[in-house]
Amino acid sequence: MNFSEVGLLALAVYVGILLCVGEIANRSRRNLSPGDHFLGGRELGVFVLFLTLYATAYSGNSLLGYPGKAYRVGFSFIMATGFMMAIIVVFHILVPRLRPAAIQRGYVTPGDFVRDRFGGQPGGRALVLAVAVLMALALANFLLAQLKAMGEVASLVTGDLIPYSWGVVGLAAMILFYETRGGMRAVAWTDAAQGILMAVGLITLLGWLLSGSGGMEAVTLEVARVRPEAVAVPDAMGCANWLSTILLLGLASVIYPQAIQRIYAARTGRALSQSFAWMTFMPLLTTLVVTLIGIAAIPRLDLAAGAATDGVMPVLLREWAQQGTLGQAAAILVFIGALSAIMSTADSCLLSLGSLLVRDLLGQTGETAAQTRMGKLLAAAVLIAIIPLALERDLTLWRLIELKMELLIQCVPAFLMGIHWVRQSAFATLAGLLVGTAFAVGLTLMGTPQWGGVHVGVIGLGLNIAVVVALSIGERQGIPGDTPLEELA
Amino acid sequence: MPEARGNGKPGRTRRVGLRPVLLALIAVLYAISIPWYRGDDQELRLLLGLPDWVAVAILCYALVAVLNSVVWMRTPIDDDAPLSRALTADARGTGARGAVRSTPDPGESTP
Repeated sequence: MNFSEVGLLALAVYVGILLCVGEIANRSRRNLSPGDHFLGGRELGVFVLFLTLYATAYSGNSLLGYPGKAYRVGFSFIMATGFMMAIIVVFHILVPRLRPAAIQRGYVTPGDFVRDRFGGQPGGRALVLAVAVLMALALANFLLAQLKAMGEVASLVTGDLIPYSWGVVGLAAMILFYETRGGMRAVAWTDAAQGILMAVGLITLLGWLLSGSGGMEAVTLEVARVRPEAVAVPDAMGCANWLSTILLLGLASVIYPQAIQRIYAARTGRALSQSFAWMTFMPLLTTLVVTLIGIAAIPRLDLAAGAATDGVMPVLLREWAQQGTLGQAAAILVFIGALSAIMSTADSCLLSLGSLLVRDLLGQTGETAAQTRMGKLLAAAVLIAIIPLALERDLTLWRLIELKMELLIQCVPAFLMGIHWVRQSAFATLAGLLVGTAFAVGLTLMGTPQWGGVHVGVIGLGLNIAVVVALSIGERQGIPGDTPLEELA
Repeated sequence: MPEARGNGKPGRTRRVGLRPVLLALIAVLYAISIPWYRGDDQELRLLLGLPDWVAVAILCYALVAVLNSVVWMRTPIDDDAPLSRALTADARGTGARGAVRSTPDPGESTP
């Protein structure tokens, strides 16, 4: 059997296992309520919670987009390790206060918090809707990136036995099936297995690359010879971009709807803090590894610029597989690990999207089975609508990540400030969100994604916060009994 | 810090003091990880087989991981803790907001 046929067989076995897990999870459910379907009955313990957080955070973007970006820009993309770690740092601002509220008030979606915090104020309902729209767009974008990545991996590793478009459509259908059947339980259980596969596969691949190239120093010197700009120290604008990227991804990723829902889904607060204590090391084992893989590919591969560079990882896998039976088996392991990472993120996005559409956009709170069914249907409709976009292959995964984050980061004041600052009003938060979003989207549409290396989304967030603070203080002046800004815990 | 309120245990008091210090250290490490300190015209210098500024960044992030893990282990999240004032006190003075939780539909909540 050649690599393509082995890859196809492995893919079939893997998909079969996923479908079985979905069915087992379906039989394990307690009821049809949104809390049970979308949050797994809030029963995730440390081990499964850690692995589902890990598999969800590291996605097609990490496995294909990050090596592609590292291949394009070189060593300065080491910043990726920093921003992935920043997410777990920024969670300190949100989690200790959000978690007790989620349990005591029964939140299912991020919008439940916004409704609880701001819903009773003028502009509160509009704010809930605005946050839901931004989050739904970000999730749809994220889902789109995963579908593209699934198609790429399936096509490249099976040597086009499964063409790109079939990969997108077929794997999307698989996800829809097991996610709809098993909900969060199916997603979390498959994530756990997928997380282990991904970590083992990546570290093995890096080991092969470095051993075959004479070690890290030899790789660095070869990269410096082939492409000197890839080892150059970033200039002032590059450093500003480094900081801006850490802020953009560190802040925006914290309010990923699927991440927030895992905060709600943990069995206990202690399980959550222990999972985060482990999660903080994962950028070193994953992001750093994929970055070094992308850099090590610079002297080995000569890929065209643009979206083609997202194929760095699959092309390396094919090269590895040609080294003999052992290489072929290891490459298949990494291939399944990569596909696992992509599918685990896609299923989490789809699950979050369903709950977010039905509760936050349509405003259906409560715990009815009809609500769960509606969420599943809406998620399926969005998935089907996105597939034609995923068949367009020209946009790089990294650019999709940036676009999503520039929208999502505008929700930061509603969550990270709103949970601490008593005086923050719904109207001010809505005004800030609209100003920040208009600024970021406007400049992006005009072809200016950055100013002096700083993302327009980050500048938009600065404007957003300024508006929130100014209007909240102005609005509340003269009201007796107000308390000042609470300290950040 | 909220987790220290109402708790007179000496061990807890020490934890409260350490957490902000560790978080401040993490911020400092992030600042050091960005190569502001290096001119972009300098020649390649290797450290641990990597360009020196890359090795410094990785060492900073490794330290951030250790410190952040310690902070999380020292962050007890109590599900029954009193809620943030932002959630319990209405800034307009109308009292506590209603809970989001509602009663499951008994007729439809069984598989």
